[in-house]
Amino acid sequence: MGAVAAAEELEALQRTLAAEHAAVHLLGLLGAQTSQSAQPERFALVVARHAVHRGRRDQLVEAVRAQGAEPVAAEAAYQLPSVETPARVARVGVELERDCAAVYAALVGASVDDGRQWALDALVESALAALEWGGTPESFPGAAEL
Amino acid sequence: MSSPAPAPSRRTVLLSVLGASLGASALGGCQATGSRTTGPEQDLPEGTTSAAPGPEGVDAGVDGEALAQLRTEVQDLAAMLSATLVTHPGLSQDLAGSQRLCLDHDRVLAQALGQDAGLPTPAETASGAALPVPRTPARALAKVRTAHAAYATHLLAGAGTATSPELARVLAAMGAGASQHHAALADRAA
Repeated sequence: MGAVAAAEELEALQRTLAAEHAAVHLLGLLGAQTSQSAQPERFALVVARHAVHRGRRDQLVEAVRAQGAEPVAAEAAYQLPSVETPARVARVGVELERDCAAVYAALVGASVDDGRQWALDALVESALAALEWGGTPESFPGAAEL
Repeated sequence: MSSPAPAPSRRTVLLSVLGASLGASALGGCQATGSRTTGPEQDLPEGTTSAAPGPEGVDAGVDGEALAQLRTEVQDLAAMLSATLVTHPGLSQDLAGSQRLCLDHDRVLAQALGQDAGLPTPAETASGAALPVPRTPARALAKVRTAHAAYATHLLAGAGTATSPELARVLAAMGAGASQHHAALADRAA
């Protein structure tokens, strides 16, 4: 891989990591707004998605370090959406998966071989998770401009 | 005395079209992020015109053939949907999303190939394959689901092997979309 391509892949990895930091933070908020007793299925979804995004975040940290760079840190604070109702929680869940799908689609384009396959798997996984949150199928998850 | 230049082959035409489409505005105005396939010019086998990638890293031989196959597949899927709806009009709500997906994907693939978008009429497949529709709605839906799964798999495989970074991104998004619709069909059938 050339120097330009490697720099592009690193940039895409860092953007994806930043998105995963935000997703992990948001899922913590969604968990705090979801009752385990009143909404057990929704709560289980929040817990499962939190685990998935944390895992991806950690893998991205390793991938950035493997390229000899310092992984971007989570922001000290995020602008939080309104999540007062279960419907808003679901909407935020859909949006965060869509946001992640977009950065993974970009990472697919910026990576090769195993890295590309990993990004592809993450893209599809986030696209399917958006449905679990109640989203509707799209023609181009991760590339809405198409 | 020099010999006359050979007429451009299909590959040459395809290469220029793909390069222009993917690099400029045809795919949503996204710029390709660079080529992974640039390198020293190679000696070409007789009968070929170019082994080099297009202006934005698109290799007409690899990417162009994959795009053409995918367009044939989405057109066949659209024909299957149409034929299924003729036999089982009650499935219209179940298949509406898939029909929209086929239209959208055909538009993007046609654009990338420099062709006119347009889906075939019922019982007419791009590949010439026969279109028998199962007698029961449940079996017809199962057949559509299987075709969806195969289409998604081929899109994702195309994203994995695309030589153009931008094409890889686009095919990945298309594959994720086909996967979503396949999952939605499975939910409806459950």
